[in-house]
Amino acid sequence: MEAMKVDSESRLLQRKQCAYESLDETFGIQKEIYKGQQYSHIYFTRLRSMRTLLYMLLPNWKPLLPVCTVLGLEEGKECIIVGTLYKHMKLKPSILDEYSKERSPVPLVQPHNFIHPDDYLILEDESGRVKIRGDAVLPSAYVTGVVAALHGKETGDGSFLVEDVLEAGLPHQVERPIISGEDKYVVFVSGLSVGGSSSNPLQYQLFVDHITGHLGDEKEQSIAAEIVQVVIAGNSVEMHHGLLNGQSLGMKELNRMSESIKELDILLSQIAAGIPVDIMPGPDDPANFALPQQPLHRCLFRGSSAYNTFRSCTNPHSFTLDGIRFLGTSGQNIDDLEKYSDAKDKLEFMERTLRWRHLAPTAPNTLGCYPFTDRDPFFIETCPHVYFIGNQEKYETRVTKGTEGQIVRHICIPRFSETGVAVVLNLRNLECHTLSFKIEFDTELEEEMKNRKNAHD
Amino acid sequence: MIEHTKKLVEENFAVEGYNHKPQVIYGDTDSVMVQFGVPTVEEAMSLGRAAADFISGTFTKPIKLEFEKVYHPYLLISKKRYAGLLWTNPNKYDKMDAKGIETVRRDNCLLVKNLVTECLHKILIDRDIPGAVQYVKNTISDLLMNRVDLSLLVITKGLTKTGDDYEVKAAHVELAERMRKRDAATAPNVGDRVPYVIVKAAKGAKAYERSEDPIYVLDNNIPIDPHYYLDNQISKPLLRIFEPILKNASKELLQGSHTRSISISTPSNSVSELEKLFGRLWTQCQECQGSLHQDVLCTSRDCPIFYRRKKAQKDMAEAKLQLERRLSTLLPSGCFYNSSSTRHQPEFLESEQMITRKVLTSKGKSKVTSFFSFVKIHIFSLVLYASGDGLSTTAKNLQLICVHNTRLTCKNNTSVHINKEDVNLVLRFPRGTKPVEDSRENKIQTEQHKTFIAEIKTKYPGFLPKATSIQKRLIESEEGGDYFKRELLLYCITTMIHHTSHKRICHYFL
Repeated sequence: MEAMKVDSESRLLQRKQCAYESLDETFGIQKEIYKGQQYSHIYFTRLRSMRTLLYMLLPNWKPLLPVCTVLGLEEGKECIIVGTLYKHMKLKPSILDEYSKERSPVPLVQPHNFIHPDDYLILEDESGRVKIRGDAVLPSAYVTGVVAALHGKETGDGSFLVEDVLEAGLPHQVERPIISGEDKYVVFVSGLSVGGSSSNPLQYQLFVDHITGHLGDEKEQSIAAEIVQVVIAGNSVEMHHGLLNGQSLGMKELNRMSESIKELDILLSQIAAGIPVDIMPGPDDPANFALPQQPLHRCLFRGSSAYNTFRSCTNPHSFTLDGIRFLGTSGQNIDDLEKYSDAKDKLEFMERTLRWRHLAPTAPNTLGCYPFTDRDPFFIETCPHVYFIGNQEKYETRVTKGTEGQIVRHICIPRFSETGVAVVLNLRNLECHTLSFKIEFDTELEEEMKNRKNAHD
Repeated sequence: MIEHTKKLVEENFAVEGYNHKPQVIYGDTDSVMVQFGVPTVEEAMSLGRAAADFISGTFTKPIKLEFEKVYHPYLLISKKRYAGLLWTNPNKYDKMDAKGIETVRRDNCLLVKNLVTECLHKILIDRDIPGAVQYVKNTISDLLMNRVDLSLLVITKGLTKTGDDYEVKAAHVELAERMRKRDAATAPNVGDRVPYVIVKAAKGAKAYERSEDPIYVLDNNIPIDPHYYLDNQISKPLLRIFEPILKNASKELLQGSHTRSISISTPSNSVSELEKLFGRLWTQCQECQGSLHQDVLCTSRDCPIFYRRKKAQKDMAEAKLQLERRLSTLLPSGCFYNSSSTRHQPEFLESEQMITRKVLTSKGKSKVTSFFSFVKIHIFSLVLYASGDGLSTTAKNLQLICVHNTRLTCKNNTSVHINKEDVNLVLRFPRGTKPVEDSRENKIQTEQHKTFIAEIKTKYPGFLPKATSIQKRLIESEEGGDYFKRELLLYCITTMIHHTSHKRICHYFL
């Protein structure tokens, strides 16, 4: 039992506790090895599991239509086909570009995504593929790897004219347990980038001190005592990768490399001494690149790994707190969707992935992914109550309701090193607010510091 | 006729006020190249046109000399080998034109072609000769350090007749012959182009003996011979380009400090880099194949990423294994930092720090007595922590801790291995290979030991630590070096973790 001491000896604030269960097992890679397997298996298992699901939904959707495979299509016959979508993209970068003969000048302004009006979709199943036409499916909204059921007919030119489309929809949700009257908070933070150029140690310390209850009066501390979990969603450290050039490093360089990690470890051990903390790897962390990213090694955190409140987790990360189901990533899946499709905000991408029942449909096509052979770990079987992604530009949140009464809280966690914002979620009602940490030196103080520095010189 | 033209041009087209005489520098059967020496392309062009008209007039009709193009800058290497920027209008150059240089020949490996093209580009368009030199040096260094993609090193030659018909032994013919012996079904036939790379072999082996199938090289991790490529492929074309513009070109380019470090082994990239590459390569192949649900079957050897994707697959498997092996030495099996354990151990850490400090500061005989209590606690907590119960464990559980060689078995049938990495990790003691003799030999009970046992007895009634004595040499040893630390540790462990069957006390090799 972790207790917090308050200055006044009369009262001792007790930190609230929460039942935690990790559901990361599916994202772990233990026995899997690279033995020449390719990516076709993952598409195959994805299609198989999604197809059984969509076939169950078909009777409620369009019961009278026959179901076909791509090979069984006949011209003019209306039918439903289920398959994996593939988006043909003109601007998609390819590794073959490295070999192209012409030296093309690199455009100064990089387009924020690779969408082009000429993009078109192709539906594929085991038997073959067919080009898709029609306004019912807009290529800009879909990406490669999504499994859907299409209603339409084959036209004379060999393409499939779509009239309607069925997505799998939100998965089934376990009912949210009612937490009576008691506030419990979960703090989300991401993009700490400790050791980076834009990072400010004071800001981190403020954040740590605040949530561990070392700041503020008794009222503030009593709120801090209601924080039951901290989740760090990726990009916690910034390493000096420039030092890695294939040659072995000297002691000095090694120390410089590990400096930022040591700094993070100190922060983490301060948090872990009071609050359970989950750390997920992100795209810039010293972890593997392909999803699912494996936990950051405990040896990196000599101090904090001694606490049992410290958990190094996979990315994506899934867990339950008092029966409330969380699912989240460090942001790669949504960032990749943004590059290859279009939506009005990040939350819409998140909603789409839930509707498609797939956390990262663009893996493995444009998002690095381990070549699984027997399963697709990103398939979403159960609907989470809270769905979060890390390393975003700004804080956004929305509650989505599903057709079966599912309620999902979507959260975009901004990068802390740039915005100084952490997100707080109330477990009782799934309401969200932000904690903002800003450091401003007033000019007088700055002057004084300058003077002092001058005096030193 | 060329002579005639030469005479006329050199006599009549000297520009007023500019002290460079026009000079015919190169002529072929049907063309001449004149160096007018004027400062701009535009002037050269008008002069060229005028000269063409003038000379055409002196020819018998219908022979005509036509103005074709201006080269600026222009690099004439030898007969039929030249490169330059081609201008047909004075505002913008049309393209880089290279004749007879390795950029257009196909019997070299891709590396040569890329290198020469890039150099010409840097020299002619960017006018950056130091940049070109640096580029060459980097490429050579990459080649020697084995960082060059295999597909860039593949040389292809057409197999026109079988081995017996060739008079001289050629690399690709020999290889085809060898491949036929290996597997006749996949060996190249007459008419095929045979791809090969040159591999390392015994000194003095001829090039044709060292040719090898790239796939076979990848499968069997055969090292490439970078010197062959440097001496036989790269050097000549490079020197041809650089000799006219660089002093000591050969020395500068081919023997500089960048050629010193040589690495033959296969390069090891970081796992994350490899994963990135693996994904990009194999999804590209899926894209080309036009199917997501079928394995990629493509075996086009002309595809630039064909060898790369195979290499990525192999490297990935290897890098993954290597990483796992490395991690496992960091944190050995059954480690104490068991994440599923419900307890964290600040006391454990504290004691650890305390011991380290004590070991480092104490002197003389007192070290035994002063460390003893701390190490005791430490080892104790180590044992307890390993049992998964923490320091709150009751004496009941303690009794049942027994040791079988290096294994701790607890009451709830969970067992934990302690091996030397564990001990090293926990105590941060240096590693050694010196075997320690069975410490059961001396059965002297010392004072410290007695007090310790008494202490334990009062604390945990019913627990009877039977142990070896402190070894004499431990007490007598004066300096607090590694040897002492090892001995001390060994003693503590054998004291605390006692084999119940009295057969053998743990046999640690620290």
